[in-house]
Amino acid sequence: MPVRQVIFMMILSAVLLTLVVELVRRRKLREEYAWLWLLAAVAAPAVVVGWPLVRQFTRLVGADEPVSVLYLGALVFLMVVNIHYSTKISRLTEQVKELAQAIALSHPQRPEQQG
Amino acid sequence: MAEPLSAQALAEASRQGVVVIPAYREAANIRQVVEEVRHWLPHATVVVVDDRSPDATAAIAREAGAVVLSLPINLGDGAARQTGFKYADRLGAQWVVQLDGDGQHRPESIPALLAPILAGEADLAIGSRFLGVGDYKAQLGRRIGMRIFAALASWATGQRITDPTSGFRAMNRRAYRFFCGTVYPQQYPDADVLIAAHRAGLRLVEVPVLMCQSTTGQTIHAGLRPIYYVYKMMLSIFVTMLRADRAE
Repeated sequence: MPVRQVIFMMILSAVLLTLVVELVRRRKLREEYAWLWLLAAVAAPAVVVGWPLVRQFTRLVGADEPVSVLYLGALVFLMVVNIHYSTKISRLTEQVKELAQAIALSHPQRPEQQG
Repeated sequence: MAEPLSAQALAEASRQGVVVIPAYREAANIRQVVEEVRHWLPHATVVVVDDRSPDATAAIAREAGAVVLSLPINLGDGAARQTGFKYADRLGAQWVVQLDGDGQHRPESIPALLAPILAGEADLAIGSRFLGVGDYKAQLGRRIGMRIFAALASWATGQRITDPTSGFRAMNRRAYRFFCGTVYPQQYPDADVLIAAHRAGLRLVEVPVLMCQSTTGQTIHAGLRPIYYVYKMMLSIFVTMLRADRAE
């Protein structure tokens, strides 16, 4: 692995790490949603350092190029992130429903006239 | 089949029940629906759940003598009904009747619908438009869809269900409290909740009722919604069959 590539990946990872940590610090990102991105930030240089392992893995799954294995890994990672978000959105929807119902139930409007 | 209720028995029973009417944009119909329901069940609490209508639905319903629960945001027909069930639960109601706010469910059918519930013969009574009373007509596509889901519901419950999409139902405390939980979907609580109810150990019965075509209001079966409906209902029925919810 050329030194330039290693340096580039390290910089990319550092930027990503800083960004995620800074967002958490400013309370723009909650810890529970940060962990996947922290994982990604750490995984990027790990791939560079552990390049022989990636080659071995490429042979294991029967791919020709290590790069295509990396692409696949990135795609799977993004899919998992999105499914994770879908479950969170589902939960939020349920919570919004419960809240709206509780608001409606707390102010029953009585009839204006009784016949 | 339960005996028809006498007027006296009905008036007596009406003290312990809640009629839930979900409504969205029903300013034109809601007064008549509420007044007719109150005519048949003079002592029942009539609850109109206003699903954030932009028109005067809520004010008119109050004028007509209903308790109005106003949802702060539009949630969908299932969540609106469930809000009514939760209100009934707070009041400790013995039974709940649900019917639509657009006037398609005829209140004169309420005594027949309520009879098996009050007699203790069933936990959930479904008002069916296809059991000989009235002459309900639907478009071909919708009719085919109704047939398919009726067949699925019949297969899954082991009894003949002709009208799973009917929003005209009566239920006892055990049934409506079961529907207060997460089992009740936010939209389109049709064949899937009937199957869930059956699997939870609730006894279902179908009762012939009068229904007419909705005159105003918005039908849920328009545009791309039928496709979404079929997808949602198929998935919902499938996962319902994989679950094991029990009614208390």
